[in-house]
Amino acid sequence: MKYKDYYEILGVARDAPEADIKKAYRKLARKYHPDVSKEKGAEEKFKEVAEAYEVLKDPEKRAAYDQMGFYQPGQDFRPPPDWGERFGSAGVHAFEDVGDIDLFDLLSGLGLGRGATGGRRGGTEFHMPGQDYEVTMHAGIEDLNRGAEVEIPLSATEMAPDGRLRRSTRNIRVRIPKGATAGQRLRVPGKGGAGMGGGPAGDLYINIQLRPHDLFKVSGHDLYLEVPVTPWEAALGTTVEVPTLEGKVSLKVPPGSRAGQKLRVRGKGLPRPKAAEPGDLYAVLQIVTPSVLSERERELYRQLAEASSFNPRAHFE
Amino acid sequence: MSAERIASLLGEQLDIELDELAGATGLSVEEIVELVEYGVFEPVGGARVEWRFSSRCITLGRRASRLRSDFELDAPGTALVVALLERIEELEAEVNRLRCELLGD
Repeated sequence: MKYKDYYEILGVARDAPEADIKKAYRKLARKYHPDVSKEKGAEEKFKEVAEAYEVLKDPEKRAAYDQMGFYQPGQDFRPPPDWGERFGSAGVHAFEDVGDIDLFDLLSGLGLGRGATGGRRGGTEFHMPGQDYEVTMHAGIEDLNRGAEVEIPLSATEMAPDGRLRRSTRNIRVRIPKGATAGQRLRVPGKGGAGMGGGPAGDLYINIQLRPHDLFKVSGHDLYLEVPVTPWEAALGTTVEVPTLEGKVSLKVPPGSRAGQKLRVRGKGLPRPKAAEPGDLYAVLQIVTPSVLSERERELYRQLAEASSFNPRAHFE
Repeated sequence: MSAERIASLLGEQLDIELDELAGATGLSVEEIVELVEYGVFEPVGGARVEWRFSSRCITLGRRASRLRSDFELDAPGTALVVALLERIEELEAEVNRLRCELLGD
C-alpha cells in the first residue's frame, strides 16, 4: 500500500485543528475543482485534496490514519500489527496482504469499523448498495457512427467474500447506442461496484470523449469538413468529390463562392437517437492559391487583374 | 448478445421517476423537490408521483450532488451553480461549433 501524506496535501500541520483543515480544503477546492478550474492536472489534484479532507475532517478516520504511522509519500508500507484490531471492522482483518490496495479505500469505510461496538458482520446488518463507477471512454467518430462495441477497463478496490480487500481489474464490453455523440454520458445499470450483504450493485457511468479525426470535426451531431478549392474553381463553380463517413459524395460548389462559405450535405452527419434524422455534414470552403506559379499562370493572372474591375476594398474608401 | 452490456444514453427521454432519480444521484427526495422549486429540474406531471424526469436529469443531479458536497453548498447555491455550469456548457458547445467553421485550424 502506498502512503499518502494528507497533511502535506492540504498544507497543514499534523496537529492542525479542524477549523484550519476546513479552511485549507475550501481554498484548494476552489482552486482545483474540475468544474471551476481549467488548469492541467486539476482533476487529479482535486481528487487528492478531497480524499485528504474526507479523512482528516472525521476525528475517527483521522485517528486511524495517524496511527498508521508516518512515511514518505509514495512509500510502500503496511499498518502496524495491532492496527487492524483497533480500527478494522469485524470481518476485515487480513492486513498482511495489502498489496496495491488504495489507502483511501481502506480508510473510507471498506476497512473501518462501523459503530464503536465493532459488531459482527452478518446478513442484513451490513447491507449496503455498491458504489457507482464513472469512467471515460475514448471513441472514434466511426465508432459513434456504427454504434460499435468498445472495451473499457475498470479497476477498483473491492471486498472479497472472505473479508479481504483486493484490487480487481476487469474489462467490460459496452455497445455505444446509436445517437450518442461527444461529451454525452451513458449509464449501464448494475455494472458498478458490488453491493454488500445483498445490497444492489452500483451503476456504471461512461463519459464519451471523442478522439480527433484527420478530416472531420464534430459539433453535436453535425460534422464539419474543410474543403480546399482553387480560385478559379471558386469563381467559375465546380463539382468536387468529398469524403463522408460512408463513402464519397458529389458536392456542387456554386460560382462566386467565398472562403468560409458553408455548404450543407444533408443527413451525412452522425446518427441521432431513435428515428430522428441524422445530423448534417458541412463542407467549409477554403480557397487556396498556389504558392508557386509558372510563368504562363503568372501572365494569365496579370491579364485577369487588368480585365477585372472588381474592388473588394471599396468599403475602406 | 450476452457479452454486451446495454448502455443507455442519458438524454431527453422522459421516463425517470422521483425515486429512481434519488437513487441514481444520491440526492434525497426532499433535496430533489427543493431543486425542482429552484428550477434545476423541470419534470412533467402534476403530483410528485406523476413526475417524470428526463434521463439527462441524472447527469445534472449527480453533478448537483457532487458540487453540493464538494463546496458545502445549500440548495439555492447549488441551483445557481448548476445553472451557471449549464450556461458554460452551452457556451463551450458554441465555441466548439465556431471552431469547426474556422479554416486552417
